[in-house]
Amino acid sequence: MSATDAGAPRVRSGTTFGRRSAAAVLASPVLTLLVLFAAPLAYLTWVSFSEADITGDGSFTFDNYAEVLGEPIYRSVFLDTIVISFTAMAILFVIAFPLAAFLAFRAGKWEIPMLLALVLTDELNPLIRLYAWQIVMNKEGVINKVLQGLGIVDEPITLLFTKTAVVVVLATGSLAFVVIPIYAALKTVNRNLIEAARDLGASWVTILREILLPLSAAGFIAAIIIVFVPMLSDFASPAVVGGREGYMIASLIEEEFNARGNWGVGSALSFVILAISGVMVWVSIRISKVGRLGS
Amino acid sequence: MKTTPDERPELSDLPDGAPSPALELDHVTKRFGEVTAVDDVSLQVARGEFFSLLGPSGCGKTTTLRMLAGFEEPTAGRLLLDGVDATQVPPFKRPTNLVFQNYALFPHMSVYRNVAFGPRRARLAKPEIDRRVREALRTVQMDEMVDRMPAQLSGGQQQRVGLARALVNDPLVLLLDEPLGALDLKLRKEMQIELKRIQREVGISFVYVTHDQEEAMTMSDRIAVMSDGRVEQVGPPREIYFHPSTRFVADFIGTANMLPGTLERATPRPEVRIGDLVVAAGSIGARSDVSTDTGAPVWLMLRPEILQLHRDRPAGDVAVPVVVEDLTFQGAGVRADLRGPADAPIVATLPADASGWRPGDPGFLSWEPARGHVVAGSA
Repeated sequence: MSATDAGAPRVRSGTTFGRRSAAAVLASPVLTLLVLFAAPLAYLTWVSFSEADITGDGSFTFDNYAEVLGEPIYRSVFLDTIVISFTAMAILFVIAFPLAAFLAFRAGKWEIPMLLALVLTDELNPLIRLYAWQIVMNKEGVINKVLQGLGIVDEPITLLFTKTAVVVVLATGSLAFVVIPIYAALKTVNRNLIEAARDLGASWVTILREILLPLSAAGFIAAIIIVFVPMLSDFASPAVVGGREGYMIASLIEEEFNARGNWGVGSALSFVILAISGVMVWVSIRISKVGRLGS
Repeated sequence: MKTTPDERPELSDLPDGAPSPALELDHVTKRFGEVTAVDDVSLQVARGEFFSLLGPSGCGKTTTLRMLAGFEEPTAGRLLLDGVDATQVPPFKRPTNLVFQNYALFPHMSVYRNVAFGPRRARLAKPEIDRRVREALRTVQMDEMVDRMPAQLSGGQQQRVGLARALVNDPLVLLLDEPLGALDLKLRKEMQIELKRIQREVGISFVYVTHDQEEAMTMSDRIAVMSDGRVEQVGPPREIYFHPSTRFVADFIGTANMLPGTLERATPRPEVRIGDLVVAAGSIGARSDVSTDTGAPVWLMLRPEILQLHRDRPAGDVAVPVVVEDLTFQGAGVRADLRGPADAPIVATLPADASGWRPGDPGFLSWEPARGHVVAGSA
């Protein structure tokens, strides 16, 4: 009895303290979100519906969106952006999945060292990596020297300042962030499931299609959110290796804000790319759910 | 042998008069680096037989099963399925199917899709798949739950689905790796009876791995008792229980009183010298590498239920003086812990109505000599 009596007030005061400290702990992320994300976004929304070019008076208008969605030049850059990002993401998945599966199932004692190595390569400053690519893909660069040395080409080929260059740079820039979520998802797959499938007559292709891919869908979704969405709005890669041909939406947004001073169109472009990102994430989540429940 | 699950040799394909065993292990050894997990094991499993691999953890029974399934390759020796060498045949081409201890159901597939997984790999026609899946689920009494997901099922139900998923392929041999190990005791007992019923119904050979001797005794036609990668003894439960060939088997199966002595003679009827006493026994069990010459060290094995406890010295040759140490009521009988000559502990099962004994009481043990069993070998 005495233990209960002594315990009761402690529990009560603990609850009060718990509520207060919970509020204190939650305050910082909530404030951060409000001040650093919600407020700028709200401002940008307002700008995107304003006459906000150099001569604009700031009055309400739909013109910015009409221009962004209607002008062929913008549409072609949107299309290029989506094609470049999709291609890079597809290449990433093709490289990342076998790597993740190897790490999860076959690496043995090399599992942790290889993961560390993977993360370390990503720690390299992205700008240094970008300029390194510029040198590698140059007309005088390693790739052209090797191709010419082997006699595969006579004249140096144009690599730099093409869509291909941007795709290569994007696809190599975020490997760790694609491998790790897929690796984590695969790691939770019970090895017995693979054995059961083998035992029931499944080939490796079937195991991949029917067992591993559906069960690691969450990893793919995570990778899309972490890597594909930022890729859509990547600015540095097209700026350094894209040139005129490998132009992406982010470059356009920068141009609208800095070179042309058209904040209205720049903001509208930002929201369109945000909407595209949202749709991508939603679609991928839908696909993974359908894959899990379908017969 | 190149076969896919859908083109297995049928029983009728075999020549008449040569019924090869469903499965045969021929001097199979498996080493993992320095460790010998399975050491020169030879076994035969007949068609329709319920065969158990019984032993403590680490005895090699699971490795043996995994070699049968094709997940491990023997270091030496051969594996024959239906009389044909299958040592090199990969798991997905073997006429065997495995039931896992942790069920290993595909968590993202319904009960129906789980069971249909094998038939779909065999590229059967849709109606045939449907017929088979429903029949298999009926056999395990899960036909009401076709649309459930594994997470919505209890452990017992999941294992029924696991069983159906394996049975639906109509394997030559069904391999079961401690399938009831994760279930609670009551459900395990029910499932033992159920498994035995299913096995009789489908007539498929079962190879059943367990460390639970009671489970093996309840269900098996024959048991192979394993220890340290070797097969200690193979035989029907009754033979293993009453006529163990090694000390290990005698101890591992049930309760055994082992009295140390020397062999007086082995034939025609074994006799054992224990101290000053020479006791006749009904049978002798020995491994081929153990001496059964006169004077060889042996054990006299007395099962608790063959012993009788008397207040006064009984007539006859056998009468061992003992002191009652403890009595435990066990429902069907009373377990009596006794102390024999040279402080040897002895356990006897007395009838439940055996009343009047108190700890500290002196008495005499007797038994029918023919029910005693000699196990050759030293400690």
